[in-house]
Amino acid sequence: MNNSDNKYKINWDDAFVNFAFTTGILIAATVFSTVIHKENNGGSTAAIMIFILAVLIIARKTSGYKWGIIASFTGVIVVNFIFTYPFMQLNFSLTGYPLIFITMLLVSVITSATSTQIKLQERVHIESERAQVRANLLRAISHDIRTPLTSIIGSTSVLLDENCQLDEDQKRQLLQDVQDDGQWLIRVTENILSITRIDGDNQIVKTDELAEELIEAAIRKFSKRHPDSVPIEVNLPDQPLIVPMDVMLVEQVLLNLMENALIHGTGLSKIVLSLESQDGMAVFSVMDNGACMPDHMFPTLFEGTIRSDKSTNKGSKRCMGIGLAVCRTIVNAHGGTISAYNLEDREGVVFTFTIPMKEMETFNENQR
Amino acid sequence: MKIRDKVLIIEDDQRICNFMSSVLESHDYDAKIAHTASEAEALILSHCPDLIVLDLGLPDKDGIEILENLRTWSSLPVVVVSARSHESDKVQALDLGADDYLTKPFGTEEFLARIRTALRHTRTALGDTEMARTGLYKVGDLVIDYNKHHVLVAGEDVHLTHSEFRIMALLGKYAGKVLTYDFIIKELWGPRAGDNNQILRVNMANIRRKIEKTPAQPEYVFTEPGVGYRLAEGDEVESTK
Repeated sequence: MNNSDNKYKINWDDAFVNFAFTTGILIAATVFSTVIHKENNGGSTAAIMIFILAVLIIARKTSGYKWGIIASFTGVIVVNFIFTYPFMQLNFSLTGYPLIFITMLLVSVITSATSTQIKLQERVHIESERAQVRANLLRAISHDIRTPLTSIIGSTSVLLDENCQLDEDQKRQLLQDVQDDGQWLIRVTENILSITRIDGDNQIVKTDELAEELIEAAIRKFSKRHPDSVPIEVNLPDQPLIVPMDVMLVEQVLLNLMENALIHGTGLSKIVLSLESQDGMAVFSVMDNGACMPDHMFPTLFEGTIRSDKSTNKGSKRCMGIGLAVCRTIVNAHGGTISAYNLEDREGVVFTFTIPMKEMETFNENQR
Repeated sequence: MKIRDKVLIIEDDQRICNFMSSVLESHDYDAKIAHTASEAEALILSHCPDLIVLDLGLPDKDGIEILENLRTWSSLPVVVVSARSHESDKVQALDLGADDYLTKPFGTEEFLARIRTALRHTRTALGDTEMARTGLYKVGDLVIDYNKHHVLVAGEDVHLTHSEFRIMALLGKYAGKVLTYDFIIKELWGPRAGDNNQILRVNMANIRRKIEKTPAQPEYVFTEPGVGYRLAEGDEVESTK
């Protein structure tokens, strides 16, 4: 079963496509040969050449070996019947026939083999790229886990150390740190789980959800985790937007973006979540009015290789290496795109992503 | 001797059990623990708990099976606990008769709140006696009037349509409990309603615009993504302020 997400891409594994292409090329070759045949008057050489070319094109483009071979047989018959003396008659006794036939067959087989090998190499290349991305993510994950664990082990060993005399406030702070680290680990885990929800072929299970409900749930979860966060403003369209999506995954994207804004937007005073509809896409934006992002960070922002940017690192702003990479994986799996940019007046940073929407049917007649 | 509510915790991880039972005991509940389905079944029969906290990821038997068995003979409140990535487990459990759910990890507040809500609903059947007497459900500035079939916010009628009122009435009947999308659709439009999911969502969107000051930060109706809707209970609105 093949999954072609772009409906305009031609699916070369479809038998009908292959059949149509083969037939089309053969007909074109016949027409072309007829024209030349009339010009040249008699010789079948041109026709033979044209059909060998046709077989080559067919073998190159169609999948597998069979279409090329079918074309070879057809080509030989057509050349014999139409373009070789006696015309409009099949006569295989003429000399040179086996050579023409074998040539066409060889051309077909060798070209098909070459095509198959090229496709295989492409697949290997894609696989190795994917493996590279996976390796990067794993490295980022390992970093994201080790950091809070180091802190947990550290804090608890101080608390357990009989020689350390700590007052109540200090103890409380250490325990709070342990809890915060635990929360951090949960977020990393959720990000990892989000990745596993997306199978190797980017297949996700979508249900029709209201975009505004997703935003509501994400904000609630976020506020619970960060009770002392800056206020969150929301801009929703009047019209409810129904978006087919895996709601837990897109919620993860919003959470990651909000957390990213909170942690990295130095000096921010608010986070603004916007939703709008544009050309059949639901466009979500998360904006913070903190410091701008240095321009050199943008190209690799979603690669999962970002650590904290040393130049702007004021204090211990912990960075989640995989957060943005997970966002991109999820958004792409939904058929959308994600991007980030500094605001024009340099007054903040915006992350925006799109998810394709459904056509909203009118419900008026059903609302009794 | 003080009579305390008995809670049975069915959970295989020892540390999580420790956490849950310490929280419960320090809040005047009598906590009992079962690590496996068979232990649980024995304890349910011998100790007759008032509420069960059930982990859906048990080693020997599927938590769902325990729930199914239980529901054949008891309407004892059950709060299920599951890991985040298994929404379908939660929805299945709710549809099979679980009263509420908790997603791991959860904090003490949330844990206690869900237990309180579940116990309250069994105590007082459909809402409290106050509501049975007046036919009104109140939370914050919201009033659902079951007699006059309208909903008021801060004294003003918000003019819900017939469908919209039926949805609010259903949520009010189970106030504080999460109702799955399927449950609401079946209750309102019958068992063969099939794909009325979009109709439900659009109705909810309209309700939200009528009763909530800021639809994105609601005070009354909360969405549990992937699961369903929940109407705030009296004290819940106070605590989010």
